[in-house]
Amino acid sequence: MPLRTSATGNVVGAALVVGGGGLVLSGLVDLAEDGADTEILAVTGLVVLAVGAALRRWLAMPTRVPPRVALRSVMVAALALVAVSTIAYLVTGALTDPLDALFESTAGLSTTALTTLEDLESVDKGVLFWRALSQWLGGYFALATIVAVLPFLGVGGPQARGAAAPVGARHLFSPHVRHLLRSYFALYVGLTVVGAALFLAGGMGPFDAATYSLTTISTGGFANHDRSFAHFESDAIEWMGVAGMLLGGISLPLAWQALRGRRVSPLRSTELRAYLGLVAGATVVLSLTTEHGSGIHDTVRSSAFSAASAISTTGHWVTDWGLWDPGPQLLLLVLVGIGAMSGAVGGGFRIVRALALMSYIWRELVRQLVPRSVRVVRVGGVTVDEGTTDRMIGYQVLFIGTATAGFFGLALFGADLITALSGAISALSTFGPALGDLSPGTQLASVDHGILLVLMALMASGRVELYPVLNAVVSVLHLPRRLAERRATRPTGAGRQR
Amino acid sequence: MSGTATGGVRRVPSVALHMAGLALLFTAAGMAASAVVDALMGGDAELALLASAAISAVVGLAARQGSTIPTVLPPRSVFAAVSVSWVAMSVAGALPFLLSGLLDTVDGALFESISGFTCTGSTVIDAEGFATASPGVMWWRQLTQWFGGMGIIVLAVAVLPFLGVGGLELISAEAPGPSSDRLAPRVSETARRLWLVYAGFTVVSIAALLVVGLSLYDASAHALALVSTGGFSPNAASVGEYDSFAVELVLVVGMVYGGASFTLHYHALRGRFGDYWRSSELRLYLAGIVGATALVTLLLVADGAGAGASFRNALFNVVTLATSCGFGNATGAGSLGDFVLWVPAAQVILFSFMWSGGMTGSTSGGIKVLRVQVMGRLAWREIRRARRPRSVQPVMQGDEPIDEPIVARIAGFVLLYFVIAVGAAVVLTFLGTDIATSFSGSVSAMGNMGPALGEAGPTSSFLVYPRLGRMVLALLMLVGRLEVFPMVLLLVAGVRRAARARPLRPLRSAR
Repeated sequence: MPLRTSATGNVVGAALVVGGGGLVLSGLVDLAEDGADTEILAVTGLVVLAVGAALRRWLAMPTRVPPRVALRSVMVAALALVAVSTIAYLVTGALTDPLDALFESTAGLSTTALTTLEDLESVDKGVLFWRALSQWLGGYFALATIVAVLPFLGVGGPQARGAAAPVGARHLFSPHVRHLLRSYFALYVGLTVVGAALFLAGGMGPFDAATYSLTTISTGGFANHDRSFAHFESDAIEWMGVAGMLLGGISLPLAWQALRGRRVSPLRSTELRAYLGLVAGATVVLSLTTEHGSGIHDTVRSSAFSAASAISTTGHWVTDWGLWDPGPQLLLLVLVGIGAMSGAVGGGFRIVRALALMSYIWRELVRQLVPRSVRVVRVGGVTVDEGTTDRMIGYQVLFIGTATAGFFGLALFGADLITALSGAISALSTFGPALGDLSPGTQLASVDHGILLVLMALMASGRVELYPVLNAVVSVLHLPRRLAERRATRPTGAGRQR
Repeated sequence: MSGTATGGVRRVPSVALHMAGLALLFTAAGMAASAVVDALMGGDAELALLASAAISAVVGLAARQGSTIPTVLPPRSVFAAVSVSWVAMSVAGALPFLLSGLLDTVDGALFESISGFTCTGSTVIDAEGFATASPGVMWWRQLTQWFGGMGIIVLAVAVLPFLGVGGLELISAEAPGPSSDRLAPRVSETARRLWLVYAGFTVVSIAALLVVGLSLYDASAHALALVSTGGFSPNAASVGEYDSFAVELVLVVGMVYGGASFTLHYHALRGRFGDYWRSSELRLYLAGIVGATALVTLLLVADGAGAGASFRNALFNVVTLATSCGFGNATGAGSLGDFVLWVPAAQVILFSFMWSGGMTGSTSGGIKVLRVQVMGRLAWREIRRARRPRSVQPVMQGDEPIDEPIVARIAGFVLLYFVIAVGAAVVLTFLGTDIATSFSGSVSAMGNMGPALGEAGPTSSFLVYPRLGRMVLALLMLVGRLEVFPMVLLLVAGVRRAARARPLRPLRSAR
């Protein structure tokens, strides 16, 4: 019987069960691939699994979860997963520096393609598998957060449930949410299997196909090779990579609706058209302005790959865009900033928000001429209600504000302007490689530790749509006052703003 | 279009034409004055200046006489009037540069003129041009900024807030002048009062600069660019030419004053000093300058520069960008005043100021402190809402909640500003300039700053941009100067069509 109820404890328990299970699975993969870390991965995994199971058993999910607690649960669960992953890297000896291990874990779970591991070809297979799996789990964790916690808050407007997401009134993990989470999980697994099949067909070995599928469908971007997809030197595999990344950037609710033969919301289909249009347009522009390999075919392929990687915020690469002209470079950054579709595992600002933003700006322009005109913000003919629009604008400001803070933070630790700007945008969108000193293939070991810390903060914030992290920051800022209040033995909550 | 017959002349009822004519007459007077300065200083450009003055006067008179202000003034026609006036002034203002031979291309002369009338201060005159230019033409260049500032003051305090451009109706109630619901009397009254402040400020600046040792020519030239927060200087090395902390201090005080709200100045001169302190925008503006100066000083000292020199250069350059003035105090490439060589973090601080600019109701450009403040509060509300989704939380300005439509308008303004600046940066990079130079250049032009980062720093010029890129930048200056909406509304015809499909509620003019 559960001893008491705690949403945070329960969610953390679930995270640990999943993380521990993942480690055990990695141990099994290690065994199959004749690695040296089988026992240590399996034992660590079992311990974590046991702790998680115990937590779940002792701490039940309460029937009502206030938003603040939900946000805190997300944060603590994410930290727990990062901790598990960090321990895994340290006990297997894959990384010896705790900060490097922490960075690798944060990058993994936030589905960002920045790695502190060097000479990937010589790293143990079990560790490589865990690394890929952590991105896959991180992608689903983020999606679950959006579906279960953030629409609950009415966050970000046309999110996973469409424009008319009701504010409040839904319980965390209500039957409906549970059903959605299960459906999306099944779909996510299905997509991953499709991805693995694509890579197998393209000519990868089974291990590579599995891991690359895990990191591609999750828009993570970790690779088993130092040169990412360029390692294979195979046109077929690169095209498969493009397809996989595009799948990763697609809205899972949209795919779910389509597969079930339901009517797809025009909002989502408009977003899908914009998504594909952006990829196609960017491919054309990049093909015209960059060069790669020998001949037009190589250039088009590498352009399509880069565009798909940027918009889906995956981070796989076949060409070093650090060597491009400034125009295509900045275009790439803009694409990374816009990011994937809403309700996808990819990160970034999200296309639907960008579309709604354009409509919003347009409305304000018209209102300027006709102050009393009544116009609404629309995406694909669907009206976005005022409350949602409002919050979307708030999110936009927070997004830009966080990117600016990151820009300053990176510069503070000595990154040059280009590195700092591109690094901040890239990390916040959970893309990964950027420009300047963070160009694809950079060894992060040579990068200042302060920069790594700032990047970690950005990746984590971007992955969970800012709110849980900002909520934690505000809670910490309020902590002294709350402690003072408690000390004064005033009833909690009294005198605080409602 | 039906003309009204007065004295046998058919007058076109067009406020745009009428205002442009007035602006051109001002311009002509300024050119004539510059010709006098040129003669006194022994320059050789009197003819060029007088010819330009004559052309401007004729065209201006024709436009003014041939048009009348219509009785009905919809916002659309006010926006058109504002935009057309600035473009007309800029075209006329380019004539002296062309005719005197200082700049030999039409687009170059236009760039310089637009940079002047928009109080930006970015230049395309090279070192040789500075060395050989006639003093009268250089004085004209300064004067373009002073005229620009005159226009902007009225726009910023009376016209744009009245029309609610970008949420400026927030400051509309405080403007000096009759709180009439009609635009024309309000504008003429407000203009008269503000121009008094503006002229007084100019005289005081000239006197102060004379005291710290500048010649009358230099003092007047710099004062013209100072009170308008323009930032042109007749010297190739800008203020760095004097290498004097006293001069820089005078300019710093002047810039801070010029970047603050002229409404507040007017009230203070009438004895209401308390208004300064009651303005949360002013407090944030000053806090930003003080905080950034301290931070940049620390960063420079940590980088190995001397404490005194660090403070001096941090103060001057923070203020010059926080007020969108754009004077430079670098004594040469490689000196500490050349902020493109500073540590990246200090440059990011300057870059932030390029976005924000000074206060509303001033001649400075950028998004403005008030809007940044409202956006900050919007972000804060968003976080609070995430914690308590069902609470009703207005965005506050002091103790008063701001109406949601105004918040929306401010948000719309800032986002449109952001989209245009980023879009222009992308265009500039595709024209071949590196990312830092392009991005900072587009933000700097849009915010009417003057210098940018990267290759276009304070010791450089905007000649580093390709020719087409400079045209994009000149356009950005105009767009940013007129608070984005008027220019964009003119440029995007579709908006006008969309608006025309709906009934207009006209504003009534006095005449």
